[in-house]
Amino acid sequence: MLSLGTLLMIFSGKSKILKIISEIILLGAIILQVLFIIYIWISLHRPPLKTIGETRIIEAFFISVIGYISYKRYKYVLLLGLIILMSLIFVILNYFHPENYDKSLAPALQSAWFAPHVIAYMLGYAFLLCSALIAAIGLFAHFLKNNTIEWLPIADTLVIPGYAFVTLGLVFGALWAKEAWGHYWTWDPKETWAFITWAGYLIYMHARYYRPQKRIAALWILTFAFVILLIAWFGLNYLPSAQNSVHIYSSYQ
Amino acid sequence: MKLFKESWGYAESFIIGAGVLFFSIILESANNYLRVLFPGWPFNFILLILYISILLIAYGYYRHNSFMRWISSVPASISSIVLFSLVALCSAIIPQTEDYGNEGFKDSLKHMQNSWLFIIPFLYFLTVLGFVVIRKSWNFKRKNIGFLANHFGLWLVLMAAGLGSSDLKKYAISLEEGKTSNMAYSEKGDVAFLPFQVKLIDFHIDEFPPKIAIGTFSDGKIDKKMENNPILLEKGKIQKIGDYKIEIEEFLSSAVHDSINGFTYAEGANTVPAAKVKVLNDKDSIIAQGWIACGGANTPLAYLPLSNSHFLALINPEPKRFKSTLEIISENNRTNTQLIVNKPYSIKRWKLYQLSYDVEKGKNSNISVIEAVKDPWLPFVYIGFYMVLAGSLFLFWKGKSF
Repeated sequence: MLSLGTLLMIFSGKSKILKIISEIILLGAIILQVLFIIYIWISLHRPPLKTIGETRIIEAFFISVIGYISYKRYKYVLLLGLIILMSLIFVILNYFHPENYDKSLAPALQSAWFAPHVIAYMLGYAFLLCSALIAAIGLFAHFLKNNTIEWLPIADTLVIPGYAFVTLGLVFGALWAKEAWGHYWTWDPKETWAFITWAGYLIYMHARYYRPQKRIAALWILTFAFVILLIAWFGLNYLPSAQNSVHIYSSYQ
Repeated sequence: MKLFKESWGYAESFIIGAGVLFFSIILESANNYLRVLFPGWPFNFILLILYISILLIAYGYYRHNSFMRWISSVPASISSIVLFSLVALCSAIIPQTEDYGNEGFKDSLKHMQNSWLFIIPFLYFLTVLGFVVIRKSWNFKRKNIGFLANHFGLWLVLMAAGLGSSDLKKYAISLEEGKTSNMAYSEKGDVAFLPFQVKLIDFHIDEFPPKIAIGTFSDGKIDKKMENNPILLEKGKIQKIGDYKIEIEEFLSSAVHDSINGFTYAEGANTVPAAKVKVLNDKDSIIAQGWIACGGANTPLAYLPLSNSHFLALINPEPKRFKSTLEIISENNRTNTQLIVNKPYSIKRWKLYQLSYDVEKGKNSNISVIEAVKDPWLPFVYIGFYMVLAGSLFLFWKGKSF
């Protein structure tokens, strides 16, 4: 919440001085996010990874960092702007859905796998979220101006680490499940949707390898994969078939 | 448009994928939509050897024909991933149940993992993946290590999970403190006798302190719009919920109602956590003070009214950890162990897990439910998992050219 104010200073750097000032503000905001996360971690006596609100904070931070690095690498202000906007949305959501920062941690979550599993997924989703923004930009550019070429390679660069982190998260989850529940995979709705998300990006990577020139199709695959990701991440809480899943986050115990 | 001629691409893959799906539907109907039973040891192993041999021979002799070139190609991979994902998607959207209701095809949809609708696409996926692995290892090059880590690792996981599923044994033993048993029940109700006895010496729960919460009189529920509502009780601190300041003057983790003192400390069943509180408003004047207590089996919830609309209450504490102290007795050995969630115990080829307890009795539960699992194919699944993890590292490192 502290970072909300600072993050508000998203920039459209036109003049050189303005660019430098806004970059400093952005970096300041990111540092504030880190400090806030450390503060919650200490006051909760546990990593802030349990509830949906806590993961939003972590996600906002990861997205800001990825956005900033992408900006330094590719120099596209539009991309940075949209990514920071996304991060801001997470922060705002948290502002309007304040949670009691609750120190309790259920026995099942008291495991060395808890942090790696959630962090791997947060990182993976952060990368894939950013790649989804590129898909959106690419498709808009195609329908409005017909120049998709430059965007797709950036998407690929983000999807690969995103997918790698999601794979790590998936396997960590399975290894943890074996220690906690006795089996590594039970086709629990969350697990099934996580698998389908993983498969969606797998299809994207294979399609890019096989027919790299089919750019519009690739952008659409990326979009569909992202929709599935959203369902796996949030939509699950609303699906009737998923109400008995062990993964339904509870913001109120 | 020429199909199935020289080299096969997306169109042919789509047609074959659709064919596989169609075949699985026919097989399912021929099986009368009943649960598909997979053979256990040693038949699953024999089938595996046969399967691998067929794949190797087919590739060895026929790898230059169109079909064989296709089956280890990217379009085939994509069609098999898409088909398998579609089937998984169905099982994610259609609520799955345990009972069969003689509903024909609907039954299959409600038990996807045990139907040909799932198994055939799974085998299609496994086969294409198998051929991909064979093709890349046929003339092995070091630069393919990352590729093989990912692809062969995944193949191992799927093969061992699929084939090993019939050898997986999962049972629950419910034990009362002081009792010994080796009788366990599967989810379906079958009885099994484990090759060792389990005695529950003691079952113990550590709880978090209860949470204090502000509820509304209109519906008796927690007022979610109040900031910080509910929070873990902390004695001696002034805790804030919304505009209310709550001071915990006394806290008894286990108490009974006492007409003189409000609540006094007591042990055993029928006790509840209770707290003596003082509530101040934002101008520091006392609004209310008195005892609040959790609701128990024989004790109604003791709440403190704060205004016409709000009251302060205690929510039943949540478990922090629960553990069973067990004695495991086998023919030549007696050992003691403590079982907690996330820390299973291994004996012979079984693993024991702390599953649950008598939740209604909560802290006073003298029953512990232990789960015993035996999974002989697990080592292969784990090797596969670790290969996939290594493969991910290759992805990070090499990026597109992994």
